[in-house]
Amino acid sequence: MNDTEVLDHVRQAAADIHLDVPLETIVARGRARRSRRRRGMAAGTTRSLHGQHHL
Amino acid sequence: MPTRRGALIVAEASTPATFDATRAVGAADPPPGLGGPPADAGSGPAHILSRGKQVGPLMRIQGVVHDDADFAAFYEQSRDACLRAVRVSVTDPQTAEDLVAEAFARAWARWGQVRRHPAPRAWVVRTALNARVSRWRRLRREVEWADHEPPVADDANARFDDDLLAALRRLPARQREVVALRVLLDLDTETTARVLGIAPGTVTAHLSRAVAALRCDPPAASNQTPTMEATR
Repeated sequence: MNDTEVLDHVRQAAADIHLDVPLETIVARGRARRSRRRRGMAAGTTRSLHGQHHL
Repeated sequence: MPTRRGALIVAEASTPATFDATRAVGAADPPPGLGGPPADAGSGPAHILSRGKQVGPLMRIQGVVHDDADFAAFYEQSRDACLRAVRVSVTDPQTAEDLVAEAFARAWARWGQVRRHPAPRAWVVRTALNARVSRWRRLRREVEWADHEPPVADDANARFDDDLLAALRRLPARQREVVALRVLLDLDTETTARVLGIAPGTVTAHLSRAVAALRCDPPAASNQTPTMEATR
């Protein structure tokens, strides 16, 4: 078995694997993650300003 | 007011700018290709305000604007390949699916950056594998205390040849990564080298060694498909 056949075998073995998660689910999770990140950044900015105010 | 890079854009007061963080790139814009210029290249009607400098009617928050159609195309083209690459390292199919979905969600949240990555698919795979480590750290204590039952494999996604998969997992980590990127994600040698931070020649050497190991691995080599036999 030559190198190409080995690699083809790997590709074939994986060919039946599919990700069935709908795009809408991905987008919803991404949106939730982005909202959390924004809230965290806003809180950090507020803390930073508050800290500077007391310096 | 202190600003964090990429977090705050100030609009000029004289500009009657409309702001929609989720669709700041105008609908009339043609979706740029996956390998094309970045969304903030400044072409088309969706001109951008950046750091208070007016360049058009819309303003954007850097790194947040999405071109949903562009991401959808990327997702459709890449999701299976990314899952296959992650399955090389993650045993449980359901966990692999969750990790890849989470990685795509992170890619969506940072699409403005991810689309400019030299290999967005590789970014997704790397993010999924990093999330796996984070998840493992988080669950480690829980597993010690809880009755842990191994998850049942999902038939639909358990078709990856078990012997071959086991042989792939026996490879050294670097060789496994090279196989995942070069073979399952179908990246070229140059891109694989850039993603892994190694020389192209090293990629070739790792792939050659991996192929040699797979060829010599008795279970993987003995489990040949009829098609493979016919090509001999």
